[in-house]
Amino acid sequence: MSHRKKAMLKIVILGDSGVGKTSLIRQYVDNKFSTQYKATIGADFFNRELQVDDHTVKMQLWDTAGQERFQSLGVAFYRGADCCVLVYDVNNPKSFEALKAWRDEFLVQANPRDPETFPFVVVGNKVDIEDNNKRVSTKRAQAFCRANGNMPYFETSAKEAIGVEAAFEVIARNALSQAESEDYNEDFTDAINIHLDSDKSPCMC
Amino acid sequence: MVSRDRNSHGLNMPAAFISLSQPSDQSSTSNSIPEVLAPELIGNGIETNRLGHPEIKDDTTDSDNTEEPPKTDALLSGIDNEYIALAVAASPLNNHHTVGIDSAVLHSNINNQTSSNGNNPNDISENNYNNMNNESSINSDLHSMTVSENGTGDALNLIDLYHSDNEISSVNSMVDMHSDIQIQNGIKSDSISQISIPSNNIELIPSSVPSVANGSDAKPKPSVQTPADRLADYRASRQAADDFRSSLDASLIESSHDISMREKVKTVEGSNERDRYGFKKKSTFFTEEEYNEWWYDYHKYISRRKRKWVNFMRESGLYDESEGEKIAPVRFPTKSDKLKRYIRKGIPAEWRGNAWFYFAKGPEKLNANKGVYDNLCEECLEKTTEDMELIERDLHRTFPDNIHFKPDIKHKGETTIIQSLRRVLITFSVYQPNIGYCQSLNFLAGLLLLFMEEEKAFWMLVIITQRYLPGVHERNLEGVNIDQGVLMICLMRSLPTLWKNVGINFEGEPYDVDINNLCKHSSSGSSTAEFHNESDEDKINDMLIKLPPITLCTAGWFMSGFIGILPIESVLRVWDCFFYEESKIFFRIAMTIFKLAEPKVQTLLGLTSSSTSSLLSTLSSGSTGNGNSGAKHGNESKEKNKGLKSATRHISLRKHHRAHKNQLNPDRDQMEVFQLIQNFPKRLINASELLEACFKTRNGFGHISQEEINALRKWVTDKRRALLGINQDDNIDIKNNINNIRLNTDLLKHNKGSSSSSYVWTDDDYYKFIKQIGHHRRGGLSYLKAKSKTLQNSSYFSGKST
Repeated sequence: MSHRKKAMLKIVILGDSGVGKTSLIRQYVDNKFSTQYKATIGADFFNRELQVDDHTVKMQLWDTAGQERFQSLGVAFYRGADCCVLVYDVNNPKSFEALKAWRDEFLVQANPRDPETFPFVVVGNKVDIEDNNKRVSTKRAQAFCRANGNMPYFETSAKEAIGVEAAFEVIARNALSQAESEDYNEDFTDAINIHLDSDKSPCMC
Repeated sequence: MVSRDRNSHGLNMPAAFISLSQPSDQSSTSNSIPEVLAPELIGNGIETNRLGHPEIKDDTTDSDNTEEPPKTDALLSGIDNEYIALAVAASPLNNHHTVGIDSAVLHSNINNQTSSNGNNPNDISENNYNNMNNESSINSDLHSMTVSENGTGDALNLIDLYHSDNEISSVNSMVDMHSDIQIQNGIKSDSISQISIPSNNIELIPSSVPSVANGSDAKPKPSVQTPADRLADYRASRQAADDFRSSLDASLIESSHDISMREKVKTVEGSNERDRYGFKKKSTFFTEEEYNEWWYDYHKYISRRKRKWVNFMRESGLYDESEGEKIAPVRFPTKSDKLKRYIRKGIPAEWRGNAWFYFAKGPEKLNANKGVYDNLCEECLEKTTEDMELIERDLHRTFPDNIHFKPDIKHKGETTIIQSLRRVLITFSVYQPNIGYCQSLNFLAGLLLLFMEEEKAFWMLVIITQRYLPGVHERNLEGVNIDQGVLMICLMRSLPTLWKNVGINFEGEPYDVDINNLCKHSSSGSSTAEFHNESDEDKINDMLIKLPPITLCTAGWFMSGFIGILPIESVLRVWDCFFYEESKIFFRIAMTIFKLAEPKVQTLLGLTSSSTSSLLSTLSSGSTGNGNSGAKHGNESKEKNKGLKSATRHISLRKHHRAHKNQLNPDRDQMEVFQLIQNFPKRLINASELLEACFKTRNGFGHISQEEINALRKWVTDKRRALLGINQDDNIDIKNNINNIRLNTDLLKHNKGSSSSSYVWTDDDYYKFIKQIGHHRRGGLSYLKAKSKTLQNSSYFSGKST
């Protein structure tokens, strides 16, 4: 191929403190898991390049602090994100219940053109832990994702490297679609309407 | 080939097993397939894995994991066949894969169960396979994935997963157009070589010691305890903490003796993977060898400084000749240039705790609050607060690289210092309700606890948050935003060249203010600013409100006092100065880091900008060359997939525009700078070099005085209050939504006069404000209108956290 397009995808990872956002990113970027990650203060930033079809895609992964007050440090970097990953800990129902607030917060701050179709991906992390009592059921998580714009849902273990690649593959693809549709709309809003209602996938609920 | 941790755990990427159990001869489509796993399958697989007995799997007890009923054909009929094909192609959700994943789990369990024996030949070959293929397996296995007819029901699930037709079609186009999915590792391999934590590390963690991964599980076992039991436990723990303190003090003094014996250092210290405080020497950014090499010289320096300190203390009549080598002094010389010089060159490690406490005026605070800490501790035994949960979650990820926080070997229960850390953080959160618990306090308290007893550490935390870093950890973090504003002004003034690269907003536009026009407030002593022209003032206002992206990185430097940012010995040297010279030290060190990083930033951007400009000339000279061919290529596929022939011309233009946009993406350069600044200080192992660069008379940052910092802090505080309409007594949770917008000058003018007014923004104001902003941004308003009800009910507008 003579020409490879370079794309930069901006991914913002959100979720409560301690759900494993850093671990997920490090597992994806470095293929490492460590129990030695410190709590994230402010925001950290990681890169990973990957090849999606003919696109050499550079993913900018924004790792954020989970404690709510850190949003005061500025959430301006949500803007221009191509995909938002909402992470919770499957063993911590509270972190699951917070997803809605994270999603709303993101939409307000990032203010994407079309909030209804903006790609979110939900990740339930720490499935390696044996704790059936507290666990958020897969079904419940799926129902939540369906009810909130059919967000793709993955269960992962950053520790055991389960489902991480799979989740990020979809994250990258959805981000790429989003980036393309953004450009598309930005430049030729009048010329083409790619949101053809007839193509909408049927609701499976 | 770099070996990876996860291989030792057996459960590799399911894809690898899919190909093992599923030969590629059944492929009904040649398209490669994204690795998407059905949630149901993941659920089952993990369930089985958790039980550790794969054969139990069929006996599904967890109703949550039961398969969804198959979707009917009626539902299918409405969907374009192409989408079904896509969905099937894009999904491994068929029976074959179910089998594959089940066997994956089976294998992994066999691995887990037999690896200790190491006698299972199958196991070995499996592991080898994984080791050899860990990079390429995804790709090759994706090719061999098959799609069976049984997969149609699940295909619908996938459509379910993709929430808009738009995405489906673009995934479709991607799958159609190309048969390769390659995951490039790029940066990855680089990072791997830097991080090499032994893979057995994870296995070593005893289940009794809660790990980071356990998160909320970290709470000690809730046993039935009476208040009297709790009190007894508490007292025992305090006693243990005191004993630990003595042993730690003794070991530091001991280590300082060792240091004087050069040969011993070479052998003993050199062979130890931990430093004298119990931290791992090796980090992501330097090796143990590099550490030892530096340490060999540094320990000589430390011994020399110690001798000088002893002499200095003798001269000041503060050195107890009989106890001098056994007990650290509790009083230090009065303030003088000599003392300042000595402190800047480093306080002996075994004296640090006492010296920090003394210089921060800890003894006064402690004397004025006798018994307060003990009472608080006992009070908190019967308390449950929201902060406690947050604290609990952070205890075990405070210094996981320190042996006192996370022991190497099996350790029953938690360490003494973790218990002390819990008490200090909980009592602090109760004592300072305007702060509560803020992440990063755990690092401050943790480091203090390595050098002083917990009661002192508690009061030091109070002093730091009250006097040294006011407001920095408060609920709205306004203090840290103010300090970042101050730091940006300092940068703008002292490093104008670097400012061009970091003084940029999120849109990539520079805050190019003529610094000579800027305020002379510090010299005049007043906190008002004089601007020569209004556009500069607007830019400064905008900068102080939104704060450049780089402050997301520097905020952490201030909040955690450079812990985790600089290598530990450098942190300690910075803290020596900090407690003696106050917060200006943090600004000076931050400036020094920027200054030291400046050449690297220039190199980075120098390279990038040359390639950018050449591209620019190519593009501006007309639509020739690669850009055009790329556009054409894009055309064909879009056309084919969407059937929008009439749009060809537009898409061509769009592609061209996009290529142009991406290559000239200011965001990209900016992010590279961000990453450089983020990682740069972590390599600054040479503590003396850093401090010298900071304090040297020529081109150092000694000129930034505390008065200037204080004046700037006040100036920035007032400005932010005026611009954001925050009242001084107002504890409203500023979500900095204002960061999101291009500041409207009318709004600024409107608020300018209101700095002294007592008007407090209500939730409703925020809503109106955002609505107003939304109006200027595409589609924002309509969305907000639709969502207004939910938004007002959401935590966002409740004004307060939790």
